[in-house]
Amino acid sequence: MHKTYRAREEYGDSFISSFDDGLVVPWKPLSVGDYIKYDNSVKRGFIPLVLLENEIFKKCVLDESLTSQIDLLKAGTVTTVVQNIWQYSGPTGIDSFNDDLNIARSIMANESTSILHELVQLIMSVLPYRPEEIYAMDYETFLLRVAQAEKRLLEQGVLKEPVQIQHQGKQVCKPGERAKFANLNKEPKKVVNAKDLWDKQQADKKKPSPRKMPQVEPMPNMPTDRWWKTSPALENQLHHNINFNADAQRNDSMMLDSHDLNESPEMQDYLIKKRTAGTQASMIEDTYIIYADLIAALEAKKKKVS
Amino acid sequence: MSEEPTVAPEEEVTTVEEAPKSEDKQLSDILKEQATAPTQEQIDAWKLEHGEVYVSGFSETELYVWRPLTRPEYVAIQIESQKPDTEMNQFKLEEFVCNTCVVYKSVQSNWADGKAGTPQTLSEQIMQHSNFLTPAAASMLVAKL
Repeated sequence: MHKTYRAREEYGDSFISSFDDGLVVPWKPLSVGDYIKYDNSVKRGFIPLVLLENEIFKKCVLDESLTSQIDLLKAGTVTTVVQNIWQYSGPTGIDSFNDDLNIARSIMANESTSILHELVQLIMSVLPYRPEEIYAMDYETFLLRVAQAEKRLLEQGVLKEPVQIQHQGKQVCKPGERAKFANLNKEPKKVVNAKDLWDKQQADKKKPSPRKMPQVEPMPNMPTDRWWKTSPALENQLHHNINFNADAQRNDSMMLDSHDLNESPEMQDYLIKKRTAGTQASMIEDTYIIYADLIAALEAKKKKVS
Repeated sequence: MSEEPTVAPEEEVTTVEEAPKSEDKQLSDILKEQATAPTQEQIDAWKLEHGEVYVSGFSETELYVWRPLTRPEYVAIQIESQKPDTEMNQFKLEEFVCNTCVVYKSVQSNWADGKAGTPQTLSEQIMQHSNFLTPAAASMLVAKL
């Protein structure tokens, strides 16, 4: 055990492999990139495995006296240590990977440190720091960076209120303490008076409500000036130059513009009627006048049948 | 005048030291009984040269003194075995390990003339004491500081 303590004092946070003959080998795992690289090398098989073992041993073992005198070690020492390094540097199987990931999840969910991991992400979202740099900060600097990131996020509107730590499902801050931050950078809620709002809308109104359609005065029961002077049957003979676009032009003049399209359907119908009142309505009236006798005869016949 | 007490002469007691049973003998003792046994100075010299020296006894007449396999020797064996035209196989590998690591044999004969399992068993002992472990045993050695 004393060798473990000495290794801890000398090499810090690392792993050790302790053999029965008393040899203690301190080492650190491979990086993920190196693990992938060596895994590919092993699978390709071009380089003998023993040479890769020597390489990994020299890369990961922290005791220089061992790495410099690797040839003096027992043959299996290097192989066994590299085996241990490999086991802790990458997944050894699907089940072990899931187990290791669950361990990482539990570390993140640890109540005492989970907030620190989340604040690391908060800092990275705003300030140009890498995770390793943030985790290397001391606590005072870390909190300063959190405050700086928080300020920028509040200015940008991403955060609506300052960061506050609470227990899950349980409010730790007393009401008085919470009030310190409750109104910070928070606009007072506007109380809306519906009656005042209605009165203001009514006062600002200048146009009549679109629901109130103006009454159309009935056309006087008088023959109007016919817009055509002769029989419609002779119309084509009188017009030497036939306007093939007459219908389209007539439709265009009666079409609703973009402003009119925003009106209600009833309003749109009124507008169409108003625009076409000079043509369509007068045509109908004149037809009734011209064929009045015929229409009366048809209605009399209808009554006899009924 | 008082008479001095007489002291009976001590009786001579002869003790017969029982001869130790053969199974209680240490291998080192059995080794010493061999006709061609290495001297203590020779054994000390081997320890100085190789670090550790072991003795394996298959019987009272068949003993082997050996040392662990070193890393360069293991690398040489592995590289040789991976050559495309190599003649190295498992049997030759076992004999190679025994020939490299055994420093004394009580039986002066070739491996081919001896018992069939001797090279295999001996090489396994040598590899085990050269720190070659199974993955399960190796994982037991690891501790995180």
